[in-house]
Amino acid sequence: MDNNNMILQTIKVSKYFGGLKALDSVDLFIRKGEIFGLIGPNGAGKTTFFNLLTGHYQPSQGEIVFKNKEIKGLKPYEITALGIARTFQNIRLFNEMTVLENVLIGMHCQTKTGLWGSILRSPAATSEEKMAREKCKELLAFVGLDGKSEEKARNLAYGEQRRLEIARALATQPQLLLLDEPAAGMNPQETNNLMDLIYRIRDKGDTILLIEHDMKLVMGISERVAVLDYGQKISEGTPREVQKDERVIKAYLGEEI
Amino acid sequence: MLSQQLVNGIVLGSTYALIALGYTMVYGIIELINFAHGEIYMFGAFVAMLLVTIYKVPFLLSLLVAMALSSLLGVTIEFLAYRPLRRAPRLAALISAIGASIFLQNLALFIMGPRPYNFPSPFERRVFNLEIFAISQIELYILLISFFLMLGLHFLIMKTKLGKAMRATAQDKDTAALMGINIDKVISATFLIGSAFGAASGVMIGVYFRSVSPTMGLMPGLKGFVAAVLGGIGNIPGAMLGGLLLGVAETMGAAYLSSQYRDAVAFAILIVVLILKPSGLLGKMVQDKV
Amino acid sequence: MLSSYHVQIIILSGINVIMAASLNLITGYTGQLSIGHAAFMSIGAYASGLATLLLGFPFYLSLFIGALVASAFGVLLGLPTLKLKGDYLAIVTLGFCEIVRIVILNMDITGGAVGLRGLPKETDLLTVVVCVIITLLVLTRILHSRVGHALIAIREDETAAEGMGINTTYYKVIAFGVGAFFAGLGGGLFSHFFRYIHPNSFDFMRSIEQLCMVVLGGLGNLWGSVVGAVALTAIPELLRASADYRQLFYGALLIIMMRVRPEGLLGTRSEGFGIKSKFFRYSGWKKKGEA
Repeated sequence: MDNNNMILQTIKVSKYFGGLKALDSVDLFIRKGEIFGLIGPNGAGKTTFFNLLTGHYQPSQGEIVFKNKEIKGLKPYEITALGIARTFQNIRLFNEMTVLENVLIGMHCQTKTGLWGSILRSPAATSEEKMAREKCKELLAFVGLDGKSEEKARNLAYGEQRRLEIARALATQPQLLLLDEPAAGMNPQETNNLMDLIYRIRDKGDTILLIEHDMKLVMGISERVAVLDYGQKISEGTPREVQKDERVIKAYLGEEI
Repeated sequence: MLSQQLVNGIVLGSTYALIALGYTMVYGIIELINFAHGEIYMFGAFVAMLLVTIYKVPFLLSLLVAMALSSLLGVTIEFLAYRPLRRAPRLAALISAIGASIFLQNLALFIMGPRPYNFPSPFERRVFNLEIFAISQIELYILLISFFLMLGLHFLIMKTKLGKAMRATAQDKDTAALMGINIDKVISATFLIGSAFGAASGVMIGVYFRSVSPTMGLMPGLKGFVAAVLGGIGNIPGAMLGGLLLGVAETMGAAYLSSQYRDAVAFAILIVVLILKPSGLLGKMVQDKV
Repeated sequence: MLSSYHVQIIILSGINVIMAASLNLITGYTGQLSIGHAAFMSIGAYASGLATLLLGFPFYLSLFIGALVASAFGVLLGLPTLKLKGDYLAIVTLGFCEIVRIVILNMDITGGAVGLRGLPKETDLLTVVVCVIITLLVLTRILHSRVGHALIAIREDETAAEGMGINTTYYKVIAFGVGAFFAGLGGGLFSHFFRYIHPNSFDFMRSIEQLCMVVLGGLGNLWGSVVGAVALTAIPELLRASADYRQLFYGALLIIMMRVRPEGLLGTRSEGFGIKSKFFRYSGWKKKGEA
């Protein structure tokens, strides 16, 4: 495969929790600008895989290469700075902060004001702040949350919280965006809006890796899909190929895909 | 000399271990540092001292009564100060525990006054002189009582139905409740046993140093907690190990380094251990769930 | 105009406002429970006192030195220990407070158990008021900046904060460094007011007293710390309650507050000051509906 075209590659990545093999030698590569779906039954190791990519867990074995750089051993904040951002399966917003502030925190790596700058309120700090706020408002408009910027995050509706998490992740200016079950708990209308949003993010040039249970969404939107089962990658290919794969059908025990 | 210090350390350490058990059991079940535990230790010492000096009750009976009354106090504190906060943020319960500690200590100061009371020793001043070390009768008693209490606890936790319920609750409160375990009862039982152990320690230290005072619980309380953390909080064998290690380290530190820094040794050890092994000596690393 | 007794109460209140506000930065805003804040006050009190006595430094320079030394210790404590979570960190701060007390108690240069005597009485009303204003101004500015938002994010959800690119350890060290700096400043004012300090003036109980002030006013509410500190300093003084009663009262207060109003008198969240003074007003990140 073409190295220049690749943004992320995992080589035989494994994660053990005690005796439990949560992930077992997973090889995966993701091309720049594609939408990649990661599916599998509950407990297959999908979220664990995300946690390895973002540095929340360290792999027991294997390598993770992002933009031709080994990122194993880096802290989550360092990986975010390199250009990987994520949303969480069980929404983790800063509940007591406003919508705008949540996105502002996403801007952390894009801004520089330090302790002295903030105490002295230097012109640089002031203008940077202004810039950051403008940028955040743009992002909120992008995900359709303009007008809600002064609300506390905890007061948003469920679907809005999901979109705020995406806006917050986008604020870190990622090249690779990891979405962990973004459609969970959404109604069909909201899911459609989400699909549209994901396309728009991709069209801005980002790469998207997505865990999702909503098969209509994931098969409809992904260019390629990989299937995890019991920590192993059992299939990979276009949605059409994967849907025909017998191992996948067996893993889902006849579930319609 | 070294063996003598070792014995002294083990005697002191076994009283720390008893205190540490109270902390670790409570922490294992409701994840709270029961700051008022040191005051239960103090309360136990006062009850026994008053029974022995005023009512001339035999020492062992006084010890049992002190343990029983302290258990009641422990359960009451849980009921009044911690139970209403069970669903509140952890910080709230911790602050409430600090409040309970300060309240009880100052209540004792208010009732009993700041001066230490003499706790007359019921034991003869007999010292058994062995080849390599000497041990007094009371030290022997402390070791024996501590040993049997810990043995009893081990039996209770591993072999009885209550012990099983406690272990289940420590692992997962909600699931335990679904299995028909009365969580409130288990928590009360935990406070009951932990407080009895704390009181036993207080009584024995009171009689060992022949002194009982309202502020006597502060330092041993902190050190008992240090011992629990040292062994890995929530871990029962860890608390016993931590207590003994702390007692020995402190005695050695006082003997060979400087007696002024005696109290600082415990905290210095705590900080070093936590930096090197944040989950304590026997504790398991818990990975945060993302 | 004001009797010297009243001036004393105001000065003490002011020092406690500095202590409570700086502790609030660590515990209320960053979410790192510290029950050893008095250690930094002690270090500041001794460092500034010694700077005045031994080096003959002018008062303001001594104050600054005291704050700086305390801050250095804050960073020093922070660096290795801030990987610890919640209760473990709390117990380490307590241990640190005890170690500081015992070490000072056994040092010659600090006067040991006799205490440090013969300091000039330099702290006056004006100095305290200026120091309080500087403290509150600096803390407000920090809290309303990128740095402050990082601190609050850590309190809200440390894992998510890290995922947003925040180096959580670094910012916790900043919180401890800044908090300790102002605690040291409070200590310097304290030592140059009473002219005599003793290690036991800065024990565990002092730390708890400061925590009470923060909790009473509201964790994560700077204005609340001002109210809490003034209330817990002035009310017992004016009632002329003895020290025993006062601590009995603190104990009961903590339990009752946690049951009845755990968010404190003024509630938890509001970095802004309700007052519309130009001094405290902040141009950026204004929030709607804040007290």
